[in-house]
Amino acid sequence: MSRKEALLVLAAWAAVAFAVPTSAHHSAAGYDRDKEVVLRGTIREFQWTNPHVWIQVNVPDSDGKVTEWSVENGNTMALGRQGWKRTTFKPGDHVVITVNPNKDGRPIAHFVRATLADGSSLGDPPKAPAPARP
Amino acid sequence: MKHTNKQRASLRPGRLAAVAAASVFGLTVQSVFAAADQAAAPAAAAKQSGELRGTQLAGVWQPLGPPVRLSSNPVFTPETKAAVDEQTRLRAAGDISGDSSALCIPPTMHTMTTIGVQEILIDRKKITWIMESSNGIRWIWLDGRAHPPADELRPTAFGHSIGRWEGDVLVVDTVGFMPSSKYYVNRPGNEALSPGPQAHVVERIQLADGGQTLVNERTFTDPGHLAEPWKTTVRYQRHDDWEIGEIICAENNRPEDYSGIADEKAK
Repeated sequence: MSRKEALLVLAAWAAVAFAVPTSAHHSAAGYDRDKEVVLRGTIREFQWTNPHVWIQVNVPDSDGKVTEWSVENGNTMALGRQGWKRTTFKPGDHVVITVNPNKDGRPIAHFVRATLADGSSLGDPPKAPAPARP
Repeated sequence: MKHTNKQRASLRPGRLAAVAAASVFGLTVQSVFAAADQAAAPAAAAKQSGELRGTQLAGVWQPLGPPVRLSSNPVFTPETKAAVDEQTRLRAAGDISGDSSALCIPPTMHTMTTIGVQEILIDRKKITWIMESSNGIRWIWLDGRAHPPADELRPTAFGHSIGRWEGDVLVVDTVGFMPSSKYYVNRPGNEALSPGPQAHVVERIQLADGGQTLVNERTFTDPGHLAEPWKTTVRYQRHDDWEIGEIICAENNRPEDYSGIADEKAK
């Protein structure tokens, strides 16, 4: 990676670090911002609503027992400006969503990033610039 | 009041008489103009409301920097500091008690002008300032009126605002806040306080960077809670390419998902 490209990557990360989070409606202190959990599951419902959107996702454990998680993110206007749509998550979609879990242990969490059914990625961090060619 | 050449040219008969009298008593013409303006206050107010200025402030503005992280921290009175510290202790345990915004009561103007996208509209009488993420509106009256007397001032989330121009700086004075709409005190868990009856915000608003940045220097006083005036500066970036939209908090608020708030709601 050239110095210039390294700076671009750094700039991309800085843009994320200083970006205005989409969930400023109320305190997010219920979520453990230092902890990330990866949910692999199937979308049950995407609530494209305000004050915040919610992703309802069914997540099976290793024994096949399914837990429905509620994943919160920002409002429709802020997310819309980032390219989110009403159809970003569709029932039945297989997704991988990384979240900050609720501190109280309930299956409620805050969105961090996701890999969608079509393999594209969403959220934080954005795609870094392509690696340098040798 | 600052006079334009055009205003000077249109001297009313009363003013001419005053100028004539001034020459007798050795007063300066400027001071007589000021006295004449004072005597003609209602007419002046009407005239000011007919004047459209500051249109360059109009637009869609995004607060810069992390939301509700302001440029300085408030200094609390000892009792208030203890109360805020208790909120911090609760937040560390995941409990967001006391943050009434989770019940769809938007934070007060001092906070909401720093959260989400803002749109400023100006007409001859007022500024209409829309705070998108709460579907909130504040009005800043530019027609020379004063705040209502205390017994007529209904406390609101965003207060009663009057504005005046000092050169290119719009100075806005806001009073009259309701206690259930709280202000965030610049801690990571959005610890919040109810503004007291004497809470008062003065904003100095001006453009920078060729009109692409809006700078809002605010001084917030809240006797009983804050030991000294809390001065913060908020900068906004212009987004001519954005449109704002409707956000109704009650559409799908889920307070039962937040620790602490569900119990508070039941009280």
